[in-house]
Parts: sequence; C-alpha cells; structure tokens
Amino acid sequence: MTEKPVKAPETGAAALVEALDTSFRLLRWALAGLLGVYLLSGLFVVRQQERAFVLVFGRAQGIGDERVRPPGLHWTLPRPFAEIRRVETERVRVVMTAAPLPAPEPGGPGPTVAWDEYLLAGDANLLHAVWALRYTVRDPAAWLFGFENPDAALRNELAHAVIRTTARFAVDAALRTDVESLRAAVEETVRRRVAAIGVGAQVERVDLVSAAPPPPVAAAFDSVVQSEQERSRLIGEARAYAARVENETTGAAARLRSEAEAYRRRLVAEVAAEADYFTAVYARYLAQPEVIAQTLHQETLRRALRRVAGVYYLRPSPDGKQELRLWLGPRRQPSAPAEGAGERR
Amino acid sequence: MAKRNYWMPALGLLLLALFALTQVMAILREGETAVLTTFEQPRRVLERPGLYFRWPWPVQRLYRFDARVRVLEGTFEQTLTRDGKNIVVMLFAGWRVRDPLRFLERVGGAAQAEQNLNGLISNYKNAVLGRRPFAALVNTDPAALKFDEIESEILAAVQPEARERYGVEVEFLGIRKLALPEAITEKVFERMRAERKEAAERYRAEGEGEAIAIRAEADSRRDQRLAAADAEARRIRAAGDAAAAEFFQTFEKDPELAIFLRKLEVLYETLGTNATVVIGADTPPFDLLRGALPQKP
Repeated sequence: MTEKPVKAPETGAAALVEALDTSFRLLRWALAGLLGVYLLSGLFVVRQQERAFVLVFGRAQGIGDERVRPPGLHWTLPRPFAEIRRVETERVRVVMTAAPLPAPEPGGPGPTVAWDEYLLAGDANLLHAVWALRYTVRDPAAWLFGFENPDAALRNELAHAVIRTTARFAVDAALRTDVESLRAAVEETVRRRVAAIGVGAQVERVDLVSAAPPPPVAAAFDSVVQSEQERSRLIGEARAYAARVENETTGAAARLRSEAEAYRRRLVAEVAAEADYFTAVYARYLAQPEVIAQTLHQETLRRALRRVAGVYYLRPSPDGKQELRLWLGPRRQPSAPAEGAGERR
Repeated sequence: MAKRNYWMPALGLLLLALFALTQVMAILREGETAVLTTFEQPRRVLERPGLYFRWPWPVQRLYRFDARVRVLEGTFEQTLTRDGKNIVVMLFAGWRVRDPLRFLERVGGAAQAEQNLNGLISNYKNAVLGRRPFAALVNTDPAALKFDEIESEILAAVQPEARERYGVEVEFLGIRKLALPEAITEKVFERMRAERKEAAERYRAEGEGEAIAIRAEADSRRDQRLAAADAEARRIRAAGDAAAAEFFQTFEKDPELAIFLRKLEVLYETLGTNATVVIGADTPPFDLLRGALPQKP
C-alpha cells in the first residue's frame, strides 16, 4: 500500500535525474568546446606587407626587435588578455599639401585659388604649388607607440619644408629655371626633419606635383616666355643673315680677285703674243719694208673680205662718176644696191 | 545530487570572480600613461605598460592619458613683423604628456591641453615674429632667412612654460603656413604683372637691339672685305698692266710698224659677216682691176 505512492515519484525523479545528468554532460562538452574555440581565437595571421605587435596585458611581448612579429601565422592569448596591433610597412603612403588644381579649360577662366592657398616666394611674389611626400613605415614601434597621429606629423613637416624652402627661391626660379634644386632642397629638409622627430617613417621621395603662377597673373607670365622666345628668334634670324652675308661676300671677293687675275693673264698673254708676232715681222720688215707691208695688207684684206656679206668695188671713171663692180664669191646673197650711180651684175 | 549542485554555483562563482577581477585590474597599454587616485587624491603614476591591481571605484580611480606625441595644428592668425608687415601664420607642434600628475591637475584632457598650448604658442609666436623683419622669413638670400632661429626661439620660450604649467613636453614645432593677408594679395598681383610686363618689354628690346647690332656688324664686315678684295683686284690688274707695259717696249723698235699691224688687226676684227664693204679701185689688190702691174724700181 505504501509502495505505490513512493514508486511514481521515484520513477519521475529518476527520469529527471537522468535528463539533467545528460544535459550537464552535454554542457561540460559544450564548455570544453567553447574553451577550445576561445583558445583558438588567439590565432592570427600577419600578412606579407604588415608587421604586428602582441600586447599581453598591455605590454609588447619580446625585447627590442623581437617585439615585431614577421608575416605568418602566430598564436597568443585571446582577448582581453592580449591585443594585436598591426601596421603596414611595405605600402608606400602619400601625403599631399593640397588637392591638385583641376586643369584650366582652354580660353576659360583659370581655376579659383583662395588667397591663403598661395606660397610666398623669396622675392615676395606669390605662386601656387602642390607637393607630395611618399613614405613607408620603417620603425613600426615608433609609428604605433611613439605618435598618436603620425601621418599628421608628416603632412605638417612637408608643408613646413615647402614653405621655408620656397621662401628662398625667386618666383621664376621656383616655377621655371631652378625647379629641380627647389625639389631637392625640400626633400632634403623633409628627410632631416622626419629623422629628427623620430616618427619611424622612411622618406621615399618628395615630388612637386604642380606649380603655377597665380591664375590672375598667368597671362603676364606667359607673355614673358613669349617675349623671351621672340628675342631668341630675332637674334637667330640676325645670325642667319650674318652667315649668309659672310658666305656671299666670300664668293663676291673671290670673284673679284679671279676676274682681275683672268684679266691680267689674258692681257699678258695677248700682249706677249703680239710682241712675239711683232718681233717676228720686224725681223723680215727690216729687210724689205715695202714688200712686207703690202703683203700683210693684202693678206688681211683677203681674210676679211672672205667673211663679209657683200663687197662693192668702186671704180672711178675719168669723168669723175663712180662705177660699181660686184664681187662674186662662193656664197653670196645680193643685198640692197649702194647709193649713187653704179653698175651691178 | 551533490554533483548536480556543483556545476551551477561553480559557474556562477566563476563569473562573479571574473567580474570582481576586472574591477581590481588595470591594464596599461603601450603608449599610455595613467594616474591612480585614492578618494580623488593622486597617489601613483603608472608609466610602464602592463597589469596593475587597484581598489575598485569609488575607492580608487584610474585616469588614462595617451602618452604618445600628438601633432597639433595651431590657428591661422595675422601677426605683425618688426618692419610693420602683416603676415598670416599657422604653426604646428608635437607635444606629449610629460608629468601625468600635473597634467591631470592642471589640464585634464587632450583637447584642453591643445587649447592651452595654442594660446601659449600664439603668444610667443607674436612676440618672436614681432622682433624680426619680414626679410627674415622671405628672402632670396638664404643667409638672411632665419626660419631655424625663429622656430628655435619660439620653442625655447614655449617649452619651460608648457612643462611648468601643464606638465606637457613640446618636442618640436614649426611654421606650416605662411601667407599675406587677403587685401595685400591683389596688390602683389599688380606688382607681379608690372614686373612681368617690364621684363617682357626688356627682352623684346634686347632682342631687337642685338639683332640690329649683328646685322650691322655683318654688313660692315662685308663692306670691308669687298673693299679689300676690290683693292686686291686693282693691284692684280695693275700688275697685269705693268707686265704688259714691259712687252710694249718691244714695239718701241718701230712704232709705225706697230701701229700699222694694229690697224690691220682692227680692220680684220671689225669687218663682220654682216658687213657690206665698199672699196675704191685704187686699193690693192683691186688696183689690179685697173690694170696695175708691178713696176720695176
């Protein structure tokens, strides 16, 4: 009689105990599993371009260079016992002094520049320039734990170097004639200062992205360049003219000389020939002057009259009238009759 | 039964213990510093990173500060140089907490610190720049530029006061912006335009002047050379004439014969192929037509 009421609760209780037992066993396994997952969460990967620090209870683990974790898989205590601080060391970062000016539309007004965006040049003129600093993080400890806003430090040092260097260059030197010196001087100043403040950055290069005179005076600057070119052109043309004149003169002078020389030679040759001829004739002439004279005279007439177009022979008649006899030769065209009375055959 | 009861309270106790631990633990990270106060009285400065134990609030309280260098950019303000020129200058500075106790007492936080520092820097900036001429900041002669000196002076003036007053160390500072007031810039543009115009005219005039000189030089040289060549030519011709004259002496032997021969030559030369000749009957050999015969002497 007393067993029955005891039996029912015992069965129920036993079932409950069993159920709880199972669930606690499950819970145990679950907790163990969670613990394992928790411990596994301490695994972390440092990528190729990164370096990392592990802060265990806030302190960077390791001493000196060992503190920096190289790329790869690492494990440490999970949070909140340990914290991982990463920094990209391989990536080249850029800071600029301002946004680059948009290119001006041709013929349109230049870009507007605010009054405080100009730089002062050494001759108290104004110009607009945009600079860029390229750097990498070389000392991750200094970068992460030495400075709160290290990129701001670099941006300011760049602006600082640009201002004090531009302030000793005349505006024409800064814009045109001496740009590389300006850039090199700014870079040197930036390197020096970045090293001095210990921000842990390595300056790769400082570049002058753009430099231009203030838009309101750009036209005046252009006209200077144009007139410089004009000057070169005028001088160049004058020099070409001088060269041409020089060449022509050389030719003319040579020609004068050679003409005179030719005259001299010809004259001397002719006169020498005449003298020779004279000497030859004279020798014979001395012996028989009249004969020689007549012979020469006839010979000359013969040679001359062979060439002429027509010969009219006038024979004086006793009564004073002239007669005209025609000389017939091998090649003759009868030409117009002479004036006066005459015969023609 | 005892087993069943073991887990639940154990778990609960564990969680409670963990919670209690967080209240008595303080982790100071790299780059941080902190002041531990007991009943708001500063007791201890924590500077090295690591794990520290403390009494929980309200017994002890932990004030954390960033111990790293922070770069602050000042205000862009107008100031007057010694020679009365208005310039607008902005400085930047790198500062860090040096004395956390004093920092907590006098300043309290980074924002407040920067505000205070700005005022301090502004003050000394005006003072230092007011002693220097404009040419110390803007000059084509590098020896006359005094940026280093000016910045060092400002830094030297600011540092002790920042340490003393705010527990802050100013590590470095510099000028990061330098401009002329807006009203002046237009005048500068006018001056720049005038300078350029003058330079352009000068270049053009130089070009023209030099071109004229080169051309004149070339012409003069040409005239000289031609004159010299002319003289030379004359000399040659004269030499020719002189040489010919020597030959003329031959004709002195019988001038009349010479003249006769010359006449014959001219006669031959002048009777060209188109000439028509009229000859008298007395002219030999045509006197033969009249019947002239040789006569015995």
